[in-house]
Amino acid sequence: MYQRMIFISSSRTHLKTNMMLLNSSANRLHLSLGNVSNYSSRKKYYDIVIAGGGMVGCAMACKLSKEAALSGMSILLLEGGPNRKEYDLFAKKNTLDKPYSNRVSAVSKSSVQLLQSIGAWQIIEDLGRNNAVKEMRIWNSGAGRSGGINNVLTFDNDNDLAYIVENDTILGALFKQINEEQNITVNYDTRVNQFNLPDSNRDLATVQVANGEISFETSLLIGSDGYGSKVRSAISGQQYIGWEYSQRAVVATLHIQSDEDDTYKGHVAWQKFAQLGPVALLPLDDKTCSLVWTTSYEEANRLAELSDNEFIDALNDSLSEEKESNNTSLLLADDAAHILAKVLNKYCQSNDENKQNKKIKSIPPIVVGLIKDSRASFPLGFGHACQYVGQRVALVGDAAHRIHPLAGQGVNLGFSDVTELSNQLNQSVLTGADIGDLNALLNYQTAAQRRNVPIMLGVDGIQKMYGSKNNLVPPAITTLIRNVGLTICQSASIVKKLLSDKASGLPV
Amino acid sequence: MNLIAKKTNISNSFFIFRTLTQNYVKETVNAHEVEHHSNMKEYWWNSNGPLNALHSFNPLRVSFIINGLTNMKKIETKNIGTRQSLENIKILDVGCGGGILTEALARIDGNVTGIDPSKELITIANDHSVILRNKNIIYFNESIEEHALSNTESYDAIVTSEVLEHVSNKYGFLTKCIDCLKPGGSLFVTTPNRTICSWLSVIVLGETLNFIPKGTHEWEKFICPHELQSILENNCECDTISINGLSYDPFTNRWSWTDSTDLSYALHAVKRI
Ligand SMILES: Cc1cc2nc3c(=O)[nH]c(=O)nc-3n(C[C@H](O)[C@H](O)[C@H](O)COP(=O)(O)OP(=O)(O)OC[C@H]3O[C@@H](n4cnc5c(N)ncnc54)[C@H](O)[C@@H]3O)c2cc1C
Repeated sequence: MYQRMIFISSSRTHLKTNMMLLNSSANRLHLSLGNVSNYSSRKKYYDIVIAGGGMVGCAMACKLSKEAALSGMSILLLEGGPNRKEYDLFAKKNTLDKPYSNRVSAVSKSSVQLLQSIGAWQIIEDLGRNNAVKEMRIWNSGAGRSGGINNVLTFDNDNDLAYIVENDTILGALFKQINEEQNITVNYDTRVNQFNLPDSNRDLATVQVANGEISFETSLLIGSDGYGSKVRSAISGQQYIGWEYSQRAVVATLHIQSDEDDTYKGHVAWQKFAQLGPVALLPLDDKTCSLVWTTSYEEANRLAELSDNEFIDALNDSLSEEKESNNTSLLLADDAAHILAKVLNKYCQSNDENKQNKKIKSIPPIVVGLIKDSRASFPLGFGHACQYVGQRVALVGDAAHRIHPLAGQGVNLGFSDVTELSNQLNQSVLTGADIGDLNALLNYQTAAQRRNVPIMLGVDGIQKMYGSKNNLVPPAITTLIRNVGLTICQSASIVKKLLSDKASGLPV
Repeated sequence: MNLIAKKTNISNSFFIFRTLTQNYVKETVNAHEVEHHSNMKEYWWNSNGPLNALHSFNPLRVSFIINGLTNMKKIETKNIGTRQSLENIKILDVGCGGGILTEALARIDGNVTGIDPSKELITIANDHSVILRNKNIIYFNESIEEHALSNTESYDAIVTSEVLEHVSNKYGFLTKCIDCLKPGGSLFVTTPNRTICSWLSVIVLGETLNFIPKGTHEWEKFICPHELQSILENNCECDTISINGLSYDPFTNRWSWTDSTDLSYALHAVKRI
């Protein structure tokens, strides 16, 4: 609505005179001369510029365009990648047996609510490419004599923990919504690479893109450009705490043989805390699972070299591995854990006693096949931006925080950022604030960090605790901690409740 | 560390605020000399800076104004709950300073005039208003007395926020404000109360703990809600619509509504038709 091309060819002094003339003119019409920079170039104004069109950036664009208070604001979405045909959902619909993509997300209930509010969830549901997780079965490699699955988290039907959806499908649904919004402009193949963030709110932010002569001016720059965010480093006073886990996530799409009598067949997420790191199988349908196998760099490289059949064997071995089960110290640890479980049971009598008494006899699933070319691996790391916001700038998603995928929270945290930021902007704009108002942004930062940081530390803690090779800690102690950790989960329904509420991202 | 920074910020803010507002209205306040501050612009418009209490006050005072005007049926139905809520409403911001509130009102499409007796502040306000696009905002460097001469009964709403406590002749100031208001128009005031409580917190705690420099506020100049109400009702032909208590937390820089008007309050009155 307020888009206006301004060709600044005149000198700075000329502009100043212009400005004064305008100021004194009776109709008080102001043009965007706020950010008079030294260079003369073409600048195009958008109320909001979003850098990075991943799941989080796209959801941000949709959400903002749906806010009543922001209606009519111009939004520019800059995506470094191409306009991929995978986002074409019709193609997906027409070929029902089209193989699943190897990148999937466990989408929590609060994320579903966000996607619903922007009309994307209905599209995903119509495609039928969302699969509810009704039970989560967790076990570890040191399960010892008890063997089998030692932790089961069950979720009521109408209160599903999460849905497994392919990232492509989410992106496709979001792009479909974006294309229907007139006030959103998308530029593909456009990498942002330089920013001029103002010191005061009197000036606008300027965004420059790689090898483009146009630069953009905006009242609010939102960085959703992933964990290597460029926007993040442009924020003044930024401190980024980050490290790489010496681990990679190996992903693949698998066929599994599941127990026909399993009530939750096709809706069970499996997670094993193996020696080298957690292995998760996320259900896509009765027979298909998406694998996220966290392992050491060396092991990931070795796995990459294997043929598909060798890979399946290695995975099955890892799922059923009991490497240290005849180690006496481990048995001790196991006993200690059981004693603790008994003690806890005594004091934690709870309303879902049935579930606790239910005999857990499930066995790990057996992988029988693998979808061709579905194997890939990704580096893993931890990252936390101390400043989510600055003058006319805010970060959302992985640009602000990066976590280990073991709890499947990455994109969910990002979606919560979207909801939070959008609410804050909506409120502040209704009371006459500039869309880039620092107070509103600071409110967003406080709320988002208050929610994200504990989850990030928790996940990092679990990673460290189970985190495979820790040579400094004797294996027996590690196993003890693991077992105790898991047994507490299993026994204490309060903790269990807490865990599942946190994992589904809803306020407890 | 943070605390000290906050304290300095707050004390700066009150200091600057005082120097800027003390020469308030040319006729209604004994003119004090304005202390020139080297980078005043920075002070007014840095929302994380010394005047952050005024910036963070905006959401509350703007919604107070919107709600007041909605209750008086002045806001067009189609604009309720949008960012055009003040469309076609003529507003005068008396003592607009650097324009923190003025701009907010203009951004939600109010037709806003800001006046302030300080030339320097009007310059800052004008300079900053460049950021607004196609909005109706105009500033004049004049007092309410001067403004009232040529603007009788021409505004739908008059706003005077955190100003009255610096004005000596409240009666003169308020009657001139009301002169500019159309019959049926609304007056919105926010100001600290004159109570033991505000004396304790502003003068004793604030100033002895150095949150606020000594002598910033002349507590005797503060006005109680009932005094304000009686001037408005007996001398200005107004009816009081509402009085709401306000509180401010300097550590989180947040304002909130409270039941008690002991510290500070917002008043809405309407000029009789
Ligand atoms: C193996 C693995 C499994 C995971 N599983 C889950 C899970 O089950 N559940 C879950 O919630 N999360 C999961 N995550 C995390 C989740 O994938 C991320 O948190 C999520 O993708 C972050 O989304 P984003 O939009 O913030 O960033 P990204 O997806 O990284 O998107 C960033 C976008 O910005 C673009 N971009 C980058 N730089 C620029 C630039 N300079 N200019 C313009 N555009 C740019 C990129 O092209 C990209 O499109 C997993 C992660 C991994 C590695």
